[in-house]
Amino acid sequence: MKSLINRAIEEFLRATYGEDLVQSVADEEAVAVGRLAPLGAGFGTAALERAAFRLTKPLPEMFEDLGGWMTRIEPVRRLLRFSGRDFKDFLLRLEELPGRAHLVLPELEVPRLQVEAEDQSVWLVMLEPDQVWQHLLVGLIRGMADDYGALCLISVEGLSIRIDIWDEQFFEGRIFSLQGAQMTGAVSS
Amino acid sequence: MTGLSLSAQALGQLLPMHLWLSATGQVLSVGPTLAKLIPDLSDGLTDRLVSGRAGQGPCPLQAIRTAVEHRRRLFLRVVQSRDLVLRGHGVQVDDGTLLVNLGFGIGLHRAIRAASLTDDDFAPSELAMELLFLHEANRGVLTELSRFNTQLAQSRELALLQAQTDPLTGLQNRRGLEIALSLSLRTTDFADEVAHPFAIAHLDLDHFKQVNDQLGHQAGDDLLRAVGAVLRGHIRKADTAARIGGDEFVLILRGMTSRAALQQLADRIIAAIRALSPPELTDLQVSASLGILVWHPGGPDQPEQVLAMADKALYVSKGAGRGRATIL
Repeated sequence: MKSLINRAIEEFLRATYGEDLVQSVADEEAVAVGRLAPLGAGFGTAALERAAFRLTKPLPEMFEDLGGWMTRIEPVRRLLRFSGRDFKDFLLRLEELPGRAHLVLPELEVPRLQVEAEDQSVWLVMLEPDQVWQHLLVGLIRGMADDYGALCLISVEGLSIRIDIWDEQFFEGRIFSLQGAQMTGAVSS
Repeated sequence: MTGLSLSAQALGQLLPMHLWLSATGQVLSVGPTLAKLIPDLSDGLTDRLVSGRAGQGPCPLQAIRTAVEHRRRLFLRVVQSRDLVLRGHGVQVDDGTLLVNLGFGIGLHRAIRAASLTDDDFAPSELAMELLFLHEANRGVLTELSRFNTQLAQSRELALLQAQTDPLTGLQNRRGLEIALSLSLRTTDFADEVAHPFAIAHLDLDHFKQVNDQLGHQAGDDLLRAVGAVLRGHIRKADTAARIGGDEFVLILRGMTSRAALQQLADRIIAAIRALSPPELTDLQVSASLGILVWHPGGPDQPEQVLAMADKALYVSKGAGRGRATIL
């Protein structure tokens, strides 16, 4: 399970910033730890911190970008699209996210989420506050808004995430059919 | 208790996969999703559905009647896509008509492909989306895991290889030799259950210490690398060459039992190593001494014993003035 997360982080860094950054982060890690990381290890959140430091980018932004990048990975995007027929439905059903994640990766601890809604505003409250997940979710929601073609404003309010939907169908979202294309490799952004 | 009365539209909304038949089997109503799957079903069951359960006869109406009467599960095969079997159950309505509700079960994917179904085609109470979600999630995770497994296996193989290789010469190291020797001594051929004969040559450089002392360790390492290349060049693919210590090398030569051939090979190796002697070394010349043991099935079966015997032969060569081979 850890190897999946590590690989996601590694592929994110590679796809976004290139092989050179991945190598230098891996080298730094090896120097810090005193040995080369074993296969599947080494690209934990520590690697994101190193990368953020190198790129002089705030760490929260790094997590947001990771969340956004995940929504462009076709298999992940499809799994997220299965969770809502339109953007609003997707947001309202984010409460199911920990349960869905648990079905796929029992060891992945997604904090419990509570959704509140009023008119065209949705609040996503984290029952176990977690900065990393909060920023990751912001990126994820932003990516999915694009995917559904919705126009919205996403803002962080304390421990919750606020989404104001201006237009659910502002532009043509990406095509989604239940049947799906033949699954290719895990990464196809 | 009052009876239930539904408009055809409400029936279609509630049960998108329903089929409503008159007592004689005439189609009264078809749910919208079922109609997507079998567009002309409202014209009649015949040639569009058959019983999906073996031993019942193909008649769909008969299958429906039996299922209703005995409160059994109903299985109906779609004629135009034979691999699709719908399942469901039915009840008799007060006026004698038959109301059947169908579902996809495990054939969900085929149905979605066959009729390009979307989320809207499924009743909210159906677990279709959840089933699809799980299916794709599982596939994704499995793909990733098997990719990771392959990577692990490859790096394990590489690590094993490295653990058995001498980094300086690229030959096998002592561990690699022990593995190769154990394999040679083992009865691997099931046909005759006898190990194949081989020769083992223990080689030691003459005057290597002086190279190190007079010309430095870099020159010593260069010489060892060059000797490694010479040995690799004199053995065949199935043979083994290893460096097991400072300037000690061992060769395993499969099927080599001819003393004359072994003597020739030893002479060629000694000549090639002599040619490597650094010219700066004026008073003496680097050479090699060999002790060779020809092993036949039934001989000593422990690697240490075999190595010790080759070592003994090597000392005979050293004692007899170096630069020669002794064959036991």
